[in-house]
Amino acid sequence: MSTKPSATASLKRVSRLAEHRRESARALSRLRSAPAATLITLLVIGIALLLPALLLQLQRAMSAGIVALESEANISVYLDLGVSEIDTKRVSEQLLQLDEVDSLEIITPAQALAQLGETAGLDSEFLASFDSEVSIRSQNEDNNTWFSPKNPLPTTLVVSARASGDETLAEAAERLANQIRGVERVESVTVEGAWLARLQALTQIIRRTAQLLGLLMAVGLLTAIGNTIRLSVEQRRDEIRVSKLIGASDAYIARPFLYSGLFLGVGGGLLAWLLQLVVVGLVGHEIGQFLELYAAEAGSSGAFALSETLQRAGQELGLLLGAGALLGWLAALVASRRAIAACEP
Amino acid sequence: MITFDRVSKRYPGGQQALANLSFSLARGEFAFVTGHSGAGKSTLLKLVLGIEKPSGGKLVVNGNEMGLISSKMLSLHRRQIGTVFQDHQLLNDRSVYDNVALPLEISGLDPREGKRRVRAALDKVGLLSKEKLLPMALSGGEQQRVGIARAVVNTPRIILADEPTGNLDPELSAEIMALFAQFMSVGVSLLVASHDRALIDGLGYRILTLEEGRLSAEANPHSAGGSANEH
Repeated sequence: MSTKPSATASLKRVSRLAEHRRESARALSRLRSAPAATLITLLVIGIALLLPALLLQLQRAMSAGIVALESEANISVYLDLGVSEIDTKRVSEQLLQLDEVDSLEIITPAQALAQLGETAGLDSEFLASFDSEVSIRSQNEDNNTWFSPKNPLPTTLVVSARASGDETLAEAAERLANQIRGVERVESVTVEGAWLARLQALTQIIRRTAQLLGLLMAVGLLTAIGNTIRLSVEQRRDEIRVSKLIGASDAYIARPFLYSGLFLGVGGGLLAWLLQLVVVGLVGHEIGQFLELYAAEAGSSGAFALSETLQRAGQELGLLLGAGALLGWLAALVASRRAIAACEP
Repeated sequence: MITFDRVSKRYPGGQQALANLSFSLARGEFAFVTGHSGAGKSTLLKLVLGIEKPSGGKLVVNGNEMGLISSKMLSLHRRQIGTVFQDHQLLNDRSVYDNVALPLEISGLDPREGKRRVRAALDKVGLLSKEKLLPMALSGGEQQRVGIARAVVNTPRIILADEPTGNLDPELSAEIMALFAQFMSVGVSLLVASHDRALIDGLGYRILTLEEGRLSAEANPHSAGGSANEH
């Protein structure tokens, strides 16, 4: 054996890649050597990642549905009762000149009544009585009340809004409605789809909840993974002490622990993804039905392509693995640095 | 290689472990540090290794001033010192081979390159045939020899040993000391703490005797000039 002091400097060094391969293999074998603790940590990570991931997916499915529905945001413009045909024409031409108006449909009182009759199942003879041009006095003159069988429905203009710029259709519709309210002979304006706004608000709530939950879970995960790593450092206190005495740097000692954190995070992310597939498989159908109810109200079936969205779970995998890896590594970095510094010889 | 210049060490509790200690150890020199327990032997070794910092005076080891060394330099400093511990301090979940290879791994040496050196070190201490065993399967003397192989595998400039024969019978102890002497002959400086006067007196190397943190006596049979001391 050569004992020349200068020998080390000139000798071939191990490649960085080989070094990392060795440390990661060491981390894996350490995780395997404590299967119970590893499994529990993986479960904790998996479930913690699962909850916000599910909520985000639900929110995404709903948003996708809303975008599909928004393309048919309509405004109902009710004109004054008894407005003349000429006035109706004039108002509709005026509206068509507005940039935001995509298309316009006139529903006369008679058409409206017919539609109502159809929906309510009223008999045609009864409906016909409303079409009389004159008001007639009630048969019952004794109690002196007026009964007007004249068509009580106003002339309605159904206006489709058009979004410009990065404005959403709902916003464009709202703005257009305000403009139309000022037009002469217009009695009232209703933006169809208040339910759409409600659904949008619900989606927002789900999104915010998912974000908040994600944040809390991230803090919880950092603590949980950090604690596992800290315990594992403490279990190897003697080994770390010896390594320090023979010249190991803190960074060298930390490396297998960082890999442990990374592997736990990635494993937990994978577990979360698998659990998510199971959950979506179990309740995805019910969520789809719930959203279809809204779609039915909009009169467009299949607007919520939920199943399609949920089936794109492959994209979720990358996100979950990434989140798990980042959190695991970060937790290990902080926890191992402190625990290793505490192992002074 | 090691120069203590009026070094003192006082622990936070107020205990004075070393007081105004001055001596130096040249390249290729072999010296024992002896004294009763609590005389400051362990503190002296801890200062050289940078586990503790001197509270006064100047200590220079292998060109590093130990009072000022940064934590990054400290690990590099320790890689150039081979340390043999009284209780071996082997990693029990790694084989004899892996234990000896640890300093090379820490230094980032290519494992293929290291293999030759680990084998040579194990051969030197006579344990080549047991390289695959775990330390627990070895006797106390064998474990100590693994510790020595680990201390020398990285071709250190300095070898420190803290009671290396503490738990060994006289015959094994003599064997260990003879092993150390071989390293001295190739230019390594050795500083060995031992309270076993009977053993070290017979070897004929320089002996520094500590008493309550001070150098109370120095015997240096090989060199004519180094016997007198200011204490």
